[in-house]
Amino acid sequence: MQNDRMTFMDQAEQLKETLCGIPAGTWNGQYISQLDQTIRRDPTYQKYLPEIEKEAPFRGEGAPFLTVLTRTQGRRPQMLRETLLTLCGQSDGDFEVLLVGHKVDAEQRASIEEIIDEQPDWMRRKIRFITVDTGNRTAPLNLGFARARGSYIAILDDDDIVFDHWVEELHRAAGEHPGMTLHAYVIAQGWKAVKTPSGEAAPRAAETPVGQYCKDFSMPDQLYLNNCPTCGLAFPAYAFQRLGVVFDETLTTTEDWDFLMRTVFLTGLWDIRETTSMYRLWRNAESSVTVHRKKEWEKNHRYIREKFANSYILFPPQANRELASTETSILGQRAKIQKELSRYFFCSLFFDLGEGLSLEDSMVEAAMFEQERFKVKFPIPEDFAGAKGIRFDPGEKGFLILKDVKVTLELESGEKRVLTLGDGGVHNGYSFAEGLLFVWRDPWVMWPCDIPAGLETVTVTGAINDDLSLQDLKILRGIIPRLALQNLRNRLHGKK
Amino acid sequence: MGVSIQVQSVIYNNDKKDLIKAISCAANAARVERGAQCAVSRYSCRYGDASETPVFTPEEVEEIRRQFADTLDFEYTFFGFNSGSARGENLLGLDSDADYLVIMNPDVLMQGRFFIEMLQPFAQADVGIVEARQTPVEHPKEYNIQTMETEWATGACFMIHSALFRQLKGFDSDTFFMYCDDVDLSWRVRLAGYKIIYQPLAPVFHAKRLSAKGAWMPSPLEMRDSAKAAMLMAHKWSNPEWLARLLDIYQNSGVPEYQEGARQFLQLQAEGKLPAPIDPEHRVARFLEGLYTEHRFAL
Repeated sequence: MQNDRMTFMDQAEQLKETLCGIPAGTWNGQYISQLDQTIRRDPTYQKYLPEIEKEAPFRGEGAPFLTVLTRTQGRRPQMLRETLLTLCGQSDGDFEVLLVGHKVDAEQRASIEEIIDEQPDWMRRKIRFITVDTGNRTAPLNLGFARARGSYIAILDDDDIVFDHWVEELHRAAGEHPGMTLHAYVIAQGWKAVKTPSGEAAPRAAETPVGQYCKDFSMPDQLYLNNCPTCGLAFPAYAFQRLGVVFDETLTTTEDWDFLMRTVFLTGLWDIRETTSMYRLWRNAESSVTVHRKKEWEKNHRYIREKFANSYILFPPQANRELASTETSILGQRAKIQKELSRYFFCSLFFDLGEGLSLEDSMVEAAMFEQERFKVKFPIPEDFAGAKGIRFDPGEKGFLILKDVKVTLELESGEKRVLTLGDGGVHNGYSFAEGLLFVWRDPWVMWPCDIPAGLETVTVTGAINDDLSLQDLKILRGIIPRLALQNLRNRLHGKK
Repeated sequence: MGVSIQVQSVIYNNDKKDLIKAISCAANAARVERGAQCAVSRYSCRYGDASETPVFTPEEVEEIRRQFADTLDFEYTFFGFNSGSARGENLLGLDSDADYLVIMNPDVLMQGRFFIEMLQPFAQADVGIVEARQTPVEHPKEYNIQTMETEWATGACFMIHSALFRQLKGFDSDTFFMYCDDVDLSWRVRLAGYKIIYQPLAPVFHAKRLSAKGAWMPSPLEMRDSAKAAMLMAHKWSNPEWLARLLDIYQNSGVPEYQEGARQFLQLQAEGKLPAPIDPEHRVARFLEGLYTEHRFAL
C-alpha cells in the first residue's frame, strides 16, 4: 500500500517537473497540491486499511469483476428477496454479492441468513454476509468497499431491482473504459407497499415508469444536485482501496452524492446509455426520504456543496461544452428556470392534531398554473390518525386573489369529501364576490372540522391571480379597508 | 400424502444456459418448500421443445435429470413442429397426473419461496389460478388489494389446478398461437366459477426491459401477433362493436405489422376458421379500450 502512494507521488513529482516554472500558487500548482493533501490522507481511510488488506489475497486473478454491495437492516425481507432474485437473473454472472448487515439484532440476522439459504446453490456461493454494529448509513458502505473483492463495486439498496443486463453492461463498459466510474440510465417508478392476506407487506407498482434519470451525467448539474441514483453506478475499487476516497462518515444523508463526485473528480465517468435498473419511489413506505428530516437533508446538501466549492475540479471537455453553450450555460439556464418557476407556486397543508397548527404536521407541494387554475395533490402519510382541522396556505406571499377554492379529501375506503369556503371555511383575507383577496404575507384558509383517519390524499383546486392590476383595485374599493387598499396601490406603483 | 406439482414450459431456440438456470431455480424452490413445510410430495419439470432442431441432446437431458434428481423429475419432449405456446402447453399439461401445473415462460426464474407462496391461496376451494408477480417490470393490470383477486393471469407464470385445466381442455390452441391465450383461458376459468388470485409475495424474474422513456419495446412480430390476437378475442368473446373498431384502427394505422395482423384475421374469417362466440351476456369479458381489465398505470 505504501508503494502505491510512492508511485502516485513519483508521478505527481514528475508532473510538477513538467509544469516547471509555474508557481505553486497557480491553479495547476494548487490542483496538484490538493491531490497530494487528499490521496490516502483521510483518517477514515486509515481506519479501514486493515479491512482492505484482509481481503487482498482474494483480489486480482480469479476475483469477480463486480462486487454488488447491499447494506441491509433486515427489516425488508421481501424486498431483499426480490433484489437477490433480480441478481439471479443477470445474463453476466461475474459478480459477488456482499451483504452488509447494519445494526441487526439476532432476529434480523436470522432472517437475512434464511434469505441467503433460500437462494440456489450457485447464487449462495456468490454471497458473503458481514455485519457492522456501529456508525450511521456510511459505516456499512465503507466496510463493504473495504472488503470488496471485485475490481468494480456497485451499491444496490435492499429494495432496488435491476434488469437482466445490468452486470453485462457494466462489465462491457469497464472493459472499454477501465478505471472510470460507470453510470447507466435508471428508470424511476412510484411503488406502494400493500398488506397481503397473510399479513406480510408486498410491493405494488403504482405509477408509470419515468425516465427522469435516463440521461447523461452532467458535471455542472451534479455539483448542485445529485441526479444519479446509486443503482445505476459502479465505482472502480482502486479509488477507495488505493487512493483512499471513502464515504464521509459525518454525513447522515446524501453520502452517495458526495462519494460519487469525489470519486469522479479522480476517475472521470463513462455514461452507459442503457436503462439497466429501476429506482423505486416509495409512496407509502419507509425510505431514506421519510426517515430523515428535511432540515437534515438541506444541511447535508449545503455541507457537500461547500466541499465542492472549495475544490479544484478537473472538468472534461463535454462539461466545458455544456458550460459554454448558449442552451446550457448557467445564465441561459437561469433564465429558462425563472420562466419555468413563474408557472409554479409552493403551497402548504397543515393539520390541527388537537394541539394547534405546527410545521411538524405540515406538508409542502408545488402546484402548477394553467391559465390561473391550479390543482395540487398532497399524499398523506400512512400513520395519519385524524385531525381537528385542516389549513391550506396558497404560498407565502400576499397580494393575490384566490377563487373557487375546493378541497377534496379522499379516504382509503374510496369515499370522497369536499370542502368549499361555504363549509365553514375561515381565512385571513378579504372576501368579495370574485373570491378572497389576501393583502398581507402568509395567506391561509382553514376548515375547523373533524378530519377522519384513513385519509389517503388531499387535493386542492382553484384559481389564483397574483398579477393584480389597478383595474382590479377599482373592484375592491369599499370591500377592503382603506389601509389595505393603500398598501395594494403602493405595491402596484412600485412603492415600498 | 402431499400434492404433486408439474412445472412446464414451451421452449423455442432458447439458450441452454438460461434454461438450466430456470430449472435450477425451480429445483431450488422445491428444496426450500420441502425444508419449510413439505406439502408437496412430488415435483416434476416438463419442457416441450418447439424449435426446428432439438435444443438439448439426449446426453444433456440425462445430465439435467441427474443434476436435479434430488428435488424434481425432469422430462424433455421435442415436438418436431412449431407448436406456439398454447398448443405446446396443452401437449405438456393435458395428460399430466400432477395436482397442479405451473405454466411459465422458459426464461422465468422462481424465487426460493415460490411454491410456499403460490400454494397458499389454493386453500380456498374456489381459487382456480394463482398468478405470480413479475419483476423487475410488474404488469400494470389491476388487482384487488384486499382479496388479491384479478380478472386474468398472464401466461408468464401462473399455477392452475390440473383438473380444471383438463376440464377446460387447456388453452384454446385452435384459435390462439401465442398472444391472448392466457386472457382467454383466465376468462374461461372465471366463467366456470373459479377465482384468479394475484400473489405479490411470489415474485418471478422475467427478463423484460424498458426504454429510456419507460416504455415497452415490442418486436414487429409481437405487434403483428398481438393485433391479430386482440381481434380474435373480440370475436370469440362476443364483442362485434369492438372488433369493428379494432379492424378499423389496425387497417388504417399505417403500421405494416398491424395491417398484416388485420389481414390475417380477415383471412381466417373468410375461410370460416373463427371460433364460435361465447359469453354473449358479457359475464366475464371486458374490453376497455384495448385492455382486458383496468390498469393501474400506462406502460
